[in-house]
Amino acid sequence: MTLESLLLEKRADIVRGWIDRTLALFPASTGVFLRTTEDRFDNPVGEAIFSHMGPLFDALLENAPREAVEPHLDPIVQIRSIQDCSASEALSFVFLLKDVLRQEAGDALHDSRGEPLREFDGRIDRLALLAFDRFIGFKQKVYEIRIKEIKNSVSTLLKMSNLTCDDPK
Amino acid sequence: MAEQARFDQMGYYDPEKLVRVDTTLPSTGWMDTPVAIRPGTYIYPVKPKHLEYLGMPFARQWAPADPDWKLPPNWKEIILDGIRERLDRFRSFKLFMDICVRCGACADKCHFFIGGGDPKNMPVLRAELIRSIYRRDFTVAGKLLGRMAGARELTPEVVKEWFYYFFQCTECRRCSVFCPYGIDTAEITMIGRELLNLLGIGINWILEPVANCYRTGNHLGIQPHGLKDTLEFFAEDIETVTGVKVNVPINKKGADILFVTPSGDFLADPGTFTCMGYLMLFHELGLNYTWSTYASEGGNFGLFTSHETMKRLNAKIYAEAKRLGVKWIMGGECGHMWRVLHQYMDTMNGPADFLEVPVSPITGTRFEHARSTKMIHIVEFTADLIKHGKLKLDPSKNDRIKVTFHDSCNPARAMGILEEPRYVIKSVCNHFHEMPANTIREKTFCCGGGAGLGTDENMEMRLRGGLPRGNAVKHVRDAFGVNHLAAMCAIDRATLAPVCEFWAPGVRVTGIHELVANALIMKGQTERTLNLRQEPLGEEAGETAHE
Amino acid sequence: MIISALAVVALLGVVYAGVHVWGMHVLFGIVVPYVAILLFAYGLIKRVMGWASSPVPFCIPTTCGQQKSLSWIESSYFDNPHTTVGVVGRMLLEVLCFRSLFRNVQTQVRDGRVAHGSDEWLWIGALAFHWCFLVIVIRHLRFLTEPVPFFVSFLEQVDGFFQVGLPVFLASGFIMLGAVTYLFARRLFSPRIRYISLPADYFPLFLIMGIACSGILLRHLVRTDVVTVKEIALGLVTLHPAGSGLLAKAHWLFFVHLTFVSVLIAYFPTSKLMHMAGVLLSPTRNLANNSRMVRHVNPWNYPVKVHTYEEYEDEFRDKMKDAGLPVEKE
Repeated sequence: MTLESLLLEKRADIVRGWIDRTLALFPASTGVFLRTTEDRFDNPVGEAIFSHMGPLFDALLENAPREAVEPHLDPIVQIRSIQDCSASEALSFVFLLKDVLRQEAGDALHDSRGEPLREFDGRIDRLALLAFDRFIGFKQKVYEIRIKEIKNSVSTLLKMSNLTCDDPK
Repeated sequence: MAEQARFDQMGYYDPEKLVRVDTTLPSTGWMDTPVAIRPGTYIYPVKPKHLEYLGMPFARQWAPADPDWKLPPNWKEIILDGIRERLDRFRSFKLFMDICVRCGACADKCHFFIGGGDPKNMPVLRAELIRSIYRRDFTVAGKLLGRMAGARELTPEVVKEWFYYFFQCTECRRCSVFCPYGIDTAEITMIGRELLNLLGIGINWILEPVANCYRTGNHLGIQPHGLKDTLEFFAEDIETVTGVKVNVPINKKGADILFVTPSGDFLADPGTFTCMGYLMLFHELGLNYTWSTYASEGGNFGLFTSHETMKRLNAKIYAEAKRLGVKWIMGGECGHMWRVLHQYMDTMNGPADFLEVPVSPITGTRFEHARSTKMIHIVEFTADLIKHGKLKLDPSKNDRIKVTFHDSCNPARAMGILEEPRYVIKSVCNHFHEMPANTIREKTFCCGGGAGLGTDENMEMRLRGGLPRGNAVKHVRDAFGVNHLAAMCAIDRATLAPVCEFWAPGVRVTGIHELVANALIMKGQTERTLNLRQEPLGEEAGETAHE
Repeated sequence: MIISALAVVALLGVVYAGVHVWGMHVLFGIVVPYVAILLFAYGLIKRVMGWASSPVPFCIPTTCGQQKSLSWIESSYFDNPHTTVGVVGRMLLEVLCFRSLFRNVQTQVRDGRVAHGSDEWLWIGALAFHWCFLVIVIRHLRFLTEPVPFFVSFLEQVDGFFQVGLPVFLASGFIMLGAVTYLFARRLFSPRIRYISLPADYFPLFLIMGIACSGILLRHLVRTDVVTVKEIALGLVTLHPAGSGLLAKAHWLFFVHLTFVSVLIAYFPTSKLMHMAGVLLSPTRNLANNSRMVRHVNPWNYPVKVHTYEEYEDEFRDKMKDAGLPVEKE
């Protein structure tokens, strides 16, 4: 049995475990909200996690190219990029998959003598690097938006001058 | 917060360490979780000169990240007296301190909680920040039982927490729609901010506009001649687009109508195009109206400061109407401005017995619903015009626009102007699509930058708060190809642009009267090839949207 | 939470010992109820008067529908009322149907099937709890009145519709017990609700559970003598309290029931249970959205320092004249 087919067999458990651990990154009271609120408009964060982590795992299994991974990576990374957490916290969800794999498919993996698993770990590492790229990309976007807004907020002024004044002393 | 390993220590990247919080039990109660104030999470504090100009107390240099906020020596007494005074003045405050049963219905209604997940952004906990102090010092149970009764001591840490969370509430009132007792967190945040202002604690992005408005008549500090230049500059742009030279009456005595709009539309794109829309509409109607330089601000950042400040700024509108001798007042597209005009102005600075009940000079409609305040919303005015067929409109001019409508918080939940804007938009645009039902009308999501939070230093916080709205916009973009988001609020026009750019790229923000003006056929106009943004009209939908 | 539970259990123990062991029937059968009633009346009046003594300075309804404006636009009569009748309707919907809580209820289609959120259960649970509580209170009037009013008997018949058991099982008691258990379980098992809960949120729940259990036991298991109970109760309301002989005839569990109820009503005015009265006074719900039609008066509206036009023109006159803007003083 190849590693891929083994993981495919365990897919449901692995994805559930991955989502569980990702939700646990949030405060407990929030995690439950993300888990239980079903409406995607009332709960966009939960929606992103639930609907994209499965396909993300599939993309890893298929060793899909970057273009196929990004549509499922972006929604999660984009949200994490503006939440009040450090970069390492924001992206730690990628690495959680390593633990989940060992937990959910540990026994079976031992039979495959580690080699394929190491290869799969490599894919996860590459996913982490890609996530890092995207994370920085979104941060950059935030700063672009900031600058654009500052320019926009005085767009008339940029065309005219000598309009505003400070408080009198 | 649990103590974290430093980045160079073992365990920092240990996933188990990052999964700090047990999924079933909160690690610490909220009272034991002090707020971590880090740069990037707060808005810059007010500069002392603005407080001094306004005659507000305890002007000083301080920084939220500093351990010592240089509170006045008797700060505790000031806060407690302040609470007492407000309990006696506001039944809302007194009641909302007592009757919450913590049912949790509001918990997941706050856009900041939905987008960010900080439990203290649940409205119930935001209110508990003050309630816990109230219980301890104003109720028997709290005095006797202390924490058992949900009471805690007032410490400088509490003040910091208030600053952090009351400037992370946009007073949007969404939670109050869902509360079985109508507890309105906006009311609590307003009182919370009033209390902070008693200690000289405020944010610059609110108090600088307040000081500007007090002095120059508008938040941006545009002086009279500057306002004239700006409006004439718009008139030139309008002439470029339409070939019609619109007149710009300013401070005109004997006008029938005083027009007041948020000053944000004078300087910031895309609000400027909405402002041009007003000029074109009034010119086309031949309305005898006037702009004012003294009352050149419809918005009122006093609402985000204190009831007193709100009244001080709002007073100018009636005073100017009286001085100019107009018959009635019309207000532009704005959100919190209409909260003040609709729910506070008449009470604070009325009665406006020197004005007449607004009557449309074009249709003869008497606006009975504004018979006391004597001020109507321009969208009410325009809807009435269109209904009576008084405007020549060519909606096909907006054919490249697929538009959705964002209900702004205050017009929706503190006024209820829901159908008028939809009627106007549908009359001037052929392609209109609603966002999902639980994100519009009284359930509308905030832009994330209202109530004085729309500055740039907290952009991430705004994008967090804007996520629920942006998510719904993205949905209609993907489902119907929506490329424009219409909003009748100056703050929305400024803050939803970043929200859309981040969460739903390709969707641009527009005001309603920008759409009206693009569809408006003016007497004596040249063949229109450009829209108000001076982009070719013939272009296919979507092409200009990605910039 | 544990403290709240212990408090209720301790109360149970005290009453048991007091009545069954030490024979303090008069204390628990007469003194405690009277003291509780007095505390309730005093506390309730004081609280409501306290709220009423603070004015409503501004007209701040939360509008949940279309405003009344142009004649051809239909306004939302109850969700955004502009008349007194509309406000009364809104309040009735709020009080009787929990209109606002109902807004939480959304039926969503997810993956092709209808999904029900936890919020729906909050509305149903709260509604079941409050209505059953009311039915039970009215039913108990039969102990306090002679002759028993027709609506009380009628209600009891409806309540016992299923005609199961003898005496007939009354649905309200069981539904209420179920609902209150749900409300408790929600606080316990939802981390979000648990995070915001205070001991003061658990205590009344435990107390009400105790009341419901003791009540059901008294009716079905202990089969206390109803005639005795009625005599005692009538004695209380007619201010001719029963003698200790009569009191001693009632089962000790009856005193537990009575004391729990007494503690609940005595506790009522100092607690969040006051939401019952408070909801009626809530300014975001009980005001008409007519602030542009009728001026709302603020009793403490005081003059404030404003920047007058004269001061403004004094500062900017030269610039205004240069720009060709009209001025008052040349």
